[in-house]
Amino acid sequence: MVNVVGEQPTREKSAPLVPAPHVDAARHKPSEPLPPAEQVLRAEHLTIRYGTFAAVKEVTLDVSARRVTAIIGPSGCGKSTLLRAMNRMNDFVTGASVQGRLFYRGEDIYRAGFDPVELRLRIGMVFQKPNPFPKSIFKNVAWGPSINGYRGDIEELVEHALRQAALWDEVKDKLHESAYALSGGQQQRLCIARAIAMQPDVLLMDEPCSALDPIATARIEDLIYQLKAHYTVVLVTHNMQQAARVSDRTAFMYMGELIEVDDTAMIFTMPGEQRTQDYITGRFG
Amino acid sequence: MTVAPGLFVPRLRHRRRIGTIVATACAVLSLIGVMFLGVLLVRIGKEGWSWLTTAFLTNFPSVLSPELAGIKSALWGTIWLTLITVSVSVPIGVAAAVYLEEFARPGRVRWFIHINISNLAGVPSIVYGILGLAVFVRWMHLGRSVLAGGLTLSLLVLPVVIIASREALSAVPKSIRLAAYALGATRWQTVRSHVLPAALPGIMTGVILALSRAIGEASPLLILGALTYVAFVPQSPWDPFTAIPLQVYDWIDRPQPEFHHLAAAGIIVLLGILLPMNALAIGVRAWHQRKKAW
Repeated sequence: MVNVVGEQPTREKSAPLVPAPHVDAARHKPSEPLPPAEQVLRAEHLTIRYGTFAAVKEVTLDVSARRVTAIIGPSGCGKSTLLRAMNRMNDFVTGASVQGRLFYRGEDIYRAGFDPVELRLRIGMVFQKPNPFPKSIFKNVAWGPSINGYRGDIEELVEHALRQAALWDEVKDKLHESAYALSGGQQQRLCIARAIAMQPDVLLMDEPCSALDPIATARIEDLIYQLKAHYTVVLVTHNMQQAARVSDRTAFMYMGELIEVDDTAMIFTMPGEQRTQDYITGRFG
Repeated sequence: MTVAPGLFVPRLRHRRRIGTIVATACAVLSLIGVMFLGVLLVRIGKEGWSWLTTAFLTNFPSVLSPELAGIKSALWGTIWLTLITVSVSVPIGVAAAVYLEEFARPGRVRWFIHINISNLAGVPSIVYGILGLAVFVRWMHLGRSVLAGGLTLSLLVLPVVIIASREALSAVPKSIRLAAYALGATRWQTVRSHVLPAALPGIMTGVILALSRAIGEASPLLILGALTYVAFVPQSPWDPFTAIPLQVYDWIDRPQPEFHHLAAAGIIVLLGILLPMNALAIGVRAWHQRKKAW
C-alpha cells in the first residue's frame, strides 16, 4: 500500500518547481500529514486496451477514502480510460478489454459475474461535458434515486443534493423548468447534484471543468474541495493548477503508464521522476 | 517563400456568372416538380370538385347510377386498414429498432439483419401482395378480409418504420445514455426513461410518413383479391373490404365519363387524408427541432 498512515516526506525540501499555483492557504495545508485513510479503490497491474492499442499499461494505484485523488497527464495518456474503468463505463466502448485487477472495497470489479449496475450505484460519475437529461431540473436529480427504489422524501433529497452542489439558491424557484435553460457551469453543478443524490461512496470526475469558463471552474473546484468531507473523489484533469488546488494525492500518467503517485504537495515541489518534473514545469504536454 | 501577387488570377466575374447560372438552373428544375403537382391538382380539382358532396362520402358505390355513387365503403375500409397497420407495425417496428439500436451487440448478426431490413424497404409493394396472399389469405385462412389487408400493409411499412425509428434512436446523444448508466440504470431503464422519449418525435414522423404510403397503396391489396365493389362497411376484421385507391382504380377503369369524375373526387378525398398527415409529420419534426437542445 502506498498511502499508509503518517508517511513522511523523506526527500529534502527544495524550492517549488512550479511558479506556485495559487492555493488558498486557509483551506489547503500541504505541510500537514494527512490523517489515516482507508483504501477504497485499488488497481493492480491494470492494462486496458482498445483493440490492440494499450491505453493504460500495468497501472497499480490506490485511492483512499475521503480524499481527492487527481490524475494528471498530457492528452491521450490514458487518464480518462483509467477513470472510466473504475465504474466500468468502458463496457460501453466497443473493443475495450481489461487485464489485471481493479478492486473496489476488496472486490474485483472485473471478475466474471460481477454486476456493474450495482457498482455504479456506489460509484457516481461526472463527465467532461455537462450532460443533463432533457428533462426538468428536479427530474434530473430525482431520476437516479427513483429508479433505484429510494423510499425517503424525494423532494428533501433533491434539495439536499442541490444544496451540496451549491446550486440550490440559483434554481429553487425553477425546479420544474428544463435543465437545458441553465448555463454550462450550472448544468455541470446539476450533474454533480445528480451524482451525489445517489449518495455514492466514490465520485469520479472526468475533466469536469474543461468546458467551463474560469468563474464556473472556480465554483466547481470549491465544490470538489468540500465534497471530500463526504465522498471519495477521483479527479481527472489536464490542468495542473487545478490538481494542485483541490487534490490531496496526485498521480501522473504518461503514455499509458503511471509514472508517479504521491501527496500533491510532494508531486508539485519534489517530484521523484524527471518526466513528472518536465511535465509540471511545462516542458511538454 | 514570397509569392508574387501577379500569380493570382481570380477571374471573379467569371466565377460569379457560373454561380448565377447554376442557381437559376436549380430553381427551374425544382419548379418542374412543383409544376407537375400543380397541374395534377388543378386537373383533379376541375374534374372532381363538383362531385365531392356529403352524399359522395356517405353513399355506397353504385354501378348503375354513378350520380348516386359514393365512397363510404372505401373510406371505412381505408380507416380499418390504417388502424390495423398502425397497431401491428408500430409496436413491432419500434421494438425491432430498440433491439437493434440499444441491445444487440454490434456484429455479424446485427449487420445481417440491418442489410436485410434495408433491402426489404426497397422491395416493390406488389411482392408484399404476393407474400400476403400466400401467408395471410391462404396459409392463415384469413380470406380476403380487412385483417389480411392490414397485415400485408404492416409488412410493407415495417422496414420503413424500423429504419426511421433506428435513425431517431441513434440521433439521441450517447452522453445521455452514459449519464443514465452512471446512475446505476439498466439498459431498459435508460431506454425507457431517456432514449425513447427523446426519440419519440422522430419515430412519430417516420410512422406517419410510412402510413401515408400504406394508405395510398392499391397493388398489394389487388393481389390479395380485395374487392373493388363493396356495398357495406366492414364490421369486424374478418369482413371483406375495399379501400380508396382500389375504388379509384375501379372507377378509372370504367368507360363512362361519370365514373372518371367519381375517381377524381375519390382522389381528392385521398389527398385530403394524406396531405394533413404529411403536414402533421412536418409539424412534429419542426417542433422537435425547436425543442431539443443537445
